[in-house]
Amino acid sequence: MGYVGRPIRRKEDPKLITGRGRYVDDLELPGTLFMAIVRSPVAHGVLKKVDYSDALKVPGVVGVIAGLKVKVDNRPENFPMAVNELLYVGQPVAAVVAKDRYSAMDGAEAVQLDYEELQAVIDPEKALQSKGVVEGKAVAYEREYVSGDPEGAINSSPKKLEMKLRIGRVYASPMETRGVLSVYDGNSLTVYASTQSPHFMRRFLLDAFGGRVNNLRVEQADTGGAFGAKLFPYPEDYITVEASLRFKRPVKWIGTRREDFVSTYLSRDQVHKVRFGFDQRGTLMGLTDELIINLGAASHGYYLGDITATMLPGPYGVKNVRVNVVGVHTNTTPLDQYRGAGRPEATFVIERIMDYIADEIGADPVEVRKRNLVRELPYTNPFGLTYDSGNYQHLLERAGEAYAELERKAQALRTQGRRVGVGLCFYLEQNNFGPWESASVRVRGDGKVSVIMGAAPHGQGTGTGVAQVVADELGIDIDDVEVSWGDTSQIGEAFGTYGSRSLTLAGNAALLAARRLKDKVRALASEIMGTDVEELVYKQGGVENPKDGRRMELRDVAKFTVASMGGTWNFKSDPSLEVTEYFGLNNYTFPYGAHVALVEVEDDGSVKVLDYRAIDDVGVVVNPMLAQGQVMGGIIQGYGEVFTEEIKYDDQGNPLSTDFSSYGLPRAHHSFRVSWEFMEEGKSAAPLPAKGIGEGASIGSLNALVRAVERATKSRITEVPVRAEGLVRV
Amino acid sequence: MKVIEQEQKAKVRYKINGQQYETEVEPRRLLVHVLRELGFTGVHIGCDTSHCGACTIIMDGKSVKSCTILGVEADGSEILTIEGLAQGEKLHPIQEAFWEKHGLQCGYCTPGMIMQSYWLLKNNPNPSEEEIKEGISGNLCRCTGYQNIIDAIKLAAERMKGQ
Amino acid sequence: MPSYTPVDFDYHSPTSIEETIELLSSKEEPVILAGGQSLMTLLKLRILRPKNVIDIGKIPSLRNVVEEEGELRIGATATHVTIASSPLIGSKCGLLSSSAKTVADVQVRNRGTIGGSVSLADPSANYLPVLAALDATIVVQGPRGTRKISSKDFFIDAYTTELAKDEVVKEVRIKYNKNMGYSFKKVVRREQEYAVVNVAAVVSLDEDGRIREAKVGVGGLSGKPIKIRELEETLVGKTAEAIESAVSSLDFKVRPISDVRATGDFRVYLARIYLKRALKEAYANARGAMV
Repeated sequence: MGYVGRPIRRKEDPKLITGRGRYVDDLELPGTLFMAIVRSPVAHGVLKKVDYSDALKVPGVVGVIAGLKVKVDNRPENFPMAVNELLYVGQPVAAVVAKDRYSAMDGAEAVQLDYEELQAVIDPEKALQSKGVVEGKAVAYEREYVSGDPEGAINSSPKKLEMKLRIGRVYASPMETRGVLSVYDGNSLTVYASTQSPHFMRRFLLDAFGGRVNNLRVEQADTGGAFGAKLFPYPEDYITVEASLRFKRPVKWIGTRREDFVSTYLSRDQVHKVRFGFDQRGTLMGLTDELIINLGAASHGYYLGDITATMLPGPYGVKNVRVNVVGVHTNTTPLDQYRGAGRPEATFVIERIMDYIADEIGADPVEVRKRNLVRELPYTNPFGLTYDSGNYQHLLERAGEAYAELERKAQALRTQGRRVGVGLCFYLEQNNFGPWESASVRVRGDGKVSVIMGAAPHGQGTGTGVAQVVADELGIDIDDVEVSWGDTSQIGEAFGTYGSRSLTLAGNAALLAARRLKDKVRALASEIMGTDVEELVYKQGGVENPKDGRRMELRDVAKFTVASMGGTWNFKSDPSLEVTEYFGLNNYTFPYGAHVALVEVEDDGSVKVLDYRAIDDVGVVVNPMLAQGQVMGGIIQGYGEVFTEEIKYDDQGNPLSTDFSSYGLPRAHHSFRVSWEFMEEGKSAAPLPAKGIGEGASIGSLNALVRAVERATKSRITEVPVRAEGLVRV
Repeated sequence: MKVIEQEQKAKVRYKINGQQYETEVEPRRLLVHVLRELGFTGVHIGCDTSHCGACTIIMDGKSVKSCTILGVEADGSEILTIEGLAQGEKLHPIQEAFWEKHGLQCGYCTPGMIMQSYWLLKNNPNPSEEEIKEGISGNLCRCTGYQNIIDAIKLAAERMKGQ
Repeated sequence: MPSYTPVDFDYHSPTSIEETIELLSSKEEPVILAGGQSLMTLLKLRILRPKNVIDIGKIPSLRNVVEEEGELRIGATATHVTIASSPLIGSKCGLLSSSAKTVADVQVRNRGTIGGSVSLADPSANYLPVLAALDATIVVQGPRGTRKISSKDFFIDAYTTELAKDEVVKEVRIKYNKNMGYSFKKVVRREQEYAVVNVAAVVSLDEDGRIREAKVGVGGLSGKPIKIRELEETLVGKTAEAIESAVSSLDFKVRPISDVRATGDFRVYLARIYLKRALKEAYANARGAMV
């Protein structure tokens, strides 16, 4: 029996459950200095002077860096440090390097900033009317997406609605904060980081420091979660490297949780003003959306508006759509991706629209969705995305059964006077953000197989999934396959782990590499065995000649190549038993699914999830235990986004959410049981026809929960998070 | 009475995972940093306000957040960290159960979560689901959504009963 | 900006309360460290920057829980877990045990102390409405001797108490009555870790099941915990049926705290809901105790 499709327990775990993980703060080299960052205390201001003379007198302080400038795309001029304009609370202004973290923080406190405060703009809608929010700009990005005649279609529709929807600002909250250790030996630079993408990090650091170092290696330490927030260039990456070059010592920076709250790129934060028209049967005829995305004090999150816009039609066949994306600056921490990255927002909007159509015409929400669902695949949506494969109708039917079942439960509870409601969300997800990924499969001299992949997982368990795939392909025991990743010196180029791509891309690269490896094994073995290569077949961990029954195990072929030192290599086949493949797909993959929730709202406004169903079609499921883990974790994150989490500021731009008391991360007592099932009808076009599952649950959960609360309280909910105060029984 | 002046270092002794350690710390140094500097890097730091529980250890028989105790304050105490839970190569049933039930993803909260589970099961060998949730409510996990952690603790409880 | 390390300080670990008081008077900018579950965070964030930290955790006599002269005497460094699990407190004052059981989380309860909680006087702390309802006495000691302060006078406002800078909380004294039903309710908003409102209720009944005495405390509504005497008086001689309307028509006579956790109106709304629940539960318990 093969490994693919089975709930194999993780190869990653033994070290993590015994305290032997090596996260970046666990790494220490002789002479390591610690760096602390001095950050802007105000949301907006003119920076006049950074006086660090007192800091240099603090015992243990080695040096201070201020005024550092590096040109990086879509970042402000004041990057990685504020030089003349303070743009948000938490923006780095100076860095103090000291013998340890205690003295570094003493030093940071002694740095004096002289600045003149400017008017801060916090509200994205007010930013539209403002000037000079961030380095003289208020609007950072504009793009219009139009297909068909949306205004005409809406105006000629028998029914029209308008509404404003808002998705709040959230913090990814990986349990490990960001951190970097930079080591310079006078020639080469090695950077250890908590990151999702060591190769990408190497490239962006090379852009800045390539002229000053001869070699640059990035090694991903064990990474304590990321959820999209450890992908893109951060000021501290550059500052830490600069410090190690300047002081010629290993320099470590580990963000405190407070720092992480104000410096790690935040996410979502969109306002949608939608107008739509539909017919009596609930068919959506036309849709327009004025989308404002609050990019904060940099513009690099602009693409999230594009993802939201192009996925706005979702799985539905509406043709006439216009989305106007406006990315505005505010004096807040910059925005970037968080699990789902633009798709949760798109799905929330289109699913709210489906629910309102259902309410307006008095129809069943499942029926309205059925009426609008795309029937034939592949299908190209109004903005040019080609949905690949699957059977949306079939999955929706299954979700409809679950919905009906929970509705019956709800009915029974309502008769007891309880405030309960059922919500549904059907979602379509774009993933496989590429363009490609790499993997190398190598048979070592002892016959063990080592796989090195370019993906850089940090909790997903992709290493185990890839081991399953390779072990099956080579017909060997999974314990003989070791998968590693994260070190840019181990494989040429790569991207990393983000956008639910790793198993689809790195998994296929590994699969193809294993396939080609078998050919190499056959070729070499045929020479060793003195047989015609055409007569040999690869079977169950070795090669066989069916004619004479002779067989050579993979490990024996491997041992043969290293059996003696010296002498000559007298074979035509080269002795390497390793193959590297880079694999890309020419389209995105589009997994889809549905979530159904039954909730109860109590008289104090608290919400209890009584039943929760999730159904997914992500193509082939390599390891259902890992997939389910992604779904359950994603749903609780979605619950957090709907009920407990929001980054807030006061009017002056001071962050009000700076720790796990003022920012409500779901705790164990919030969690609830989720029943999950999967279909395998929508396979991807890859040799291993898997799509991604990493983000689906954070997409599907929002509207399922919001709709359920809406039904329970007979109200209209147009915003997440949903505040308890709004749900009390009046 | 003991007095330790700032920037002076005091000699402290701990028994950690069954072994005696002696080191020098200044008054303000947090126990979590002292433990990590002694090599117990399985004790993690996830916040600065005592909310996350990643630094949970067992000190004198009780689960505590080691970021919320001074190194000098803990002088003379007996400490168990994640590194001391397995008996050689043999994993503790809680560790086994976390592995089997997929009770971890990124692993960062895991040492604290396991140590808290250890205390919970010591004090309540047969906890209900609600008691488990309450018992680990001081430990944050961002990856799993907690259900698998709860299942792991249940499984460990089952197995520990037989021992 | 952000820090995760305390400032430098001298550390003292006295072995008696007398030594503690001597240190408090003689040392510059001292703070008392008991269980540290609130103090350490303030130190780590450098919100507090003491020159001297006086650790009273090593004074054995301060940890005692005893019954004397018809009252419970709980030492300042008795931990929440001790209070929650003490058979003595459980049998004499279940309300206090019950409130101790839901302080923060297990790890905090394993270290945190009643003296620390009382000295800090965080309006959302569990003990405050309990102590207010029961008219508890806080015993403090300083260079001028010992003072016994009623909780009504001890708590002045949020994080503000009658405790002088050179004094330390020595113990909490509670008079108890047998055959009382009690209930403690902590209202935690799901968005927040801390309680927005806490309510404590104790009810004793006469033979006919009528309320002989009621004691009601509410925390978190204003800066200091309040004992609601008006309600206590209204309920005397009534049964459970009277609770609903008595609480509905209650005027709390305080300006409720309004902040990011909850608006003032919402706090009042929640206080009402939970007062009703707590009183009904306390009544039912008292009835159960009679049978």
